[in-house]
Amino acid sequence: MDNRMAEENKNIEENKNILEIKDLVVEYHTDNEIVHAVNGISFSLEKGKTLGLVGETGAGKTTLALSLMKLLPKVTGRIAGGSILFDGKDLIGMPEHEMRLIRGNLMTMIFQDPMTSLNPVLTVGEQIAEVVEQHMKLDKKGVQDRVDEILQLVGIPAERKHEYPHQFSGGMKQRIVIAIALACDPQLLLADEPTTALDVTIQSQILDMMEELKQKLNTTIIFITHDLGVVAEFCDYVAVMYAGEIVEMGTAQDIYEGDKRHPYTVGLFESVPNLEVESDRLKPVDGLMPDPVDLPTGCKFHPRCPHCMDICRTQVPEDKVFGTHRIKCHLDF
Amino acid sequence: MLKYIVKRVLLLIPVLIGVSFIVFTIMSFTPGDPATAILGNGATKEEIQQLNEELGYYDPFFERYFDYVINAVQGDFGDSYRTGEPVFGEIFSRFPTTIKLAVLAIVLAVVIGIPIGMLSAIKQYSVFDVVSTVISMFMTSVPQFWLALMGMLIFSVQLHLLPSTGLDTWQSYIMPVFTLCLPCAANIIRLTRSSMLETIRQDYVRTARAKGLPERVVIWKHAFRNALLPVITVIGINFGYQLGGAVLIESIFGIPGVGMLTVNSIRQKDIPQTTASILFLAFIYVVIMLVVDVLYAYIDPRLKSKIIKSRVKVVGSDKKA
Repeated sequence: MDNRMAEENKNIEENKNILEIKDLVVEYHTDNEIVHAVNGISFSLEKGKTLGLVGETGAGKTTLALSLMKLLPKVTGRIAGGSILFDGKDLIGMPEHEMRLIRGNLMTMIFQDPMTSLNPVLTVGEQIAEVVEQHMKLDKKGVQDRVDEILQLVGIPAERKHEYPHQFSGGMKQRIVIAIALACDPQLLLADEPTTALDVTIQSQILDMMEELKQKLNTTIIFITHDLGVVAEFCDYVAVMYAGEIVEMGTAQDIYEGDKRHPYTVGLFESVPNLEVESDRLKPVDGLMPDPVDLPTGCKFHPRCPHCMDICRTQVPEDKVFGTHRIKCHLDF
Repeated sequence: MLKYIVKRVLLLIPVLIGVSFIVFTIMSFTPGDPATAILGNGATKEEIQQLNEELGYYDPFFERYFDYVINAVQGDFGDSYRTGEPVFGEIFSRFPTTIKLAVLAIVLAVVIGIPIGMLSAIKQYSVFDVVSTVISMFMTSVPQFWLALMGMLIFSVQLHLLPSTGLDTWQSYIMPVFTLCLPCAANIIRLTRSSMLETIRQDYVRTARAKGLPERVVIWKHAFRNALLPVITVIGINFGYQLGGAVLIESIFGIPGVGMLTVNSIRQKDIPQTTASILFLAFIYVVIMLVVDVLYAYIDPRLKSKIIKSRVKVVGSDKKA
């Protein structure tokens, strides 16, 4: 335990960025087609910060998270290019047995659907204890103490650790999934739509809890969601994903209050109902997400873009950088 | 749990009544009479008539059936027409042979079936998987008696390796046990494979991987136990099937078990013996299915709480679970 803390401290001094991703390309190979799920994503993230990853369903958000964990489906999924540096270590070339020391320990993930993410035949206590046993050098009692402690942290009475997942409600199950992810004090937490499957009151409880954890443990969080409201109150940085690319990225302020925006981000914001403006219908972004098997040439957003120019159809736009803010678009801002 | 078991045991009663009625009816309305079967062709008409009367064969059908049931409830299942001894004496003396074959076959089937099925699923589409799938397809498709006859033809007649009948040495167990076991093993392989393939795609298996657990733990602790549930049902059904299969296998290999006893009693129109033998096999089958159900509840906590009704209202209201 002490060793790990010491090591962590050393790493913090050496390396300010916990995560550096460069030109990451992820594909799914099926029998007759190649699905281009992530197409050249680059960003880095400082320790203790929270990044909100937003975009429509199918934009590649979950694939990105799974490739960071190296948990892509074995048969079909593969990382086709780029690099992922986690705490200065390259994850892509890393052998499986080393990767296992990171997974569940230094980097953890909260999965989307709490209903199916827990094993129905093991008690929740066993499911939490297992990750503690795997990564922390504790004796039996130490493990149980840690399980009690972490359950209390997520607001579940420790006595309930002997119960099975089906005996808990949806919100409680999500807390248990979160407890598993937090059990070993991770440095990087990937939260993949942790509140999507839950109703609104429980959503806010879970968010409050994560906010508290962020303060307490200084955990870096990548928060995947399509809820722009959640991102605004919770995240330091925001990245907008579209068809496997980050089309816009910046601080929350850049994205929410800045005067320059990617047309897709504009569309996303307009599709959120606004309480102050009276309107009968929502304003969705026209058209559909392109088929990742057959992506459009040039800017991938051009078929749906209201400002589409000739150059957009043929040439892939470069990132335009304005301080902390970057936009992948041909428009002049 | 106890309440559940008692309820299931009580359900045995209608099952056994139904089975006895069907067997009794079939035996009574098929041509031929017991006395002719017992005395053989050399007997005179008077002798046959006299014996049939003694056996109560000329009484009305329902009278005979109700007499049978009333006696049976008191523990008297009648005497065998052939030997004159109480029917269960014969059954109990032969049952060890039958159950020994069935247990050996089922244990072997599980030992062969589960690991091969698991490996097939883990290495899906590999050469191993393809070969095991083809062989198990074949084994489930061919009739058991054909397997038995082919085994005899090859290993006894051609190669002189194994005895073709009887159960005198350990070698003579090999063919009957394998004939019983192979189709069952093939069933287990196929089901374990498909159940495992479904399970390793579940979200909770991904959660287990995300914990950084070694693959061995992911497979055996998280996937296997969940994949096992449907497999256990099939093992139970197959075990019952073995007892039915015993009739066939014991006749082919000349093994003196309950199966052979049943076949002989049918031939000799020995109504009490036939009814009792079939009742007994049905009873064993139902008991095995009960054991399977109880086992199921112990492996899957969700079922356990459904069975223990008092708790389900409080904590199990979550339908999606």
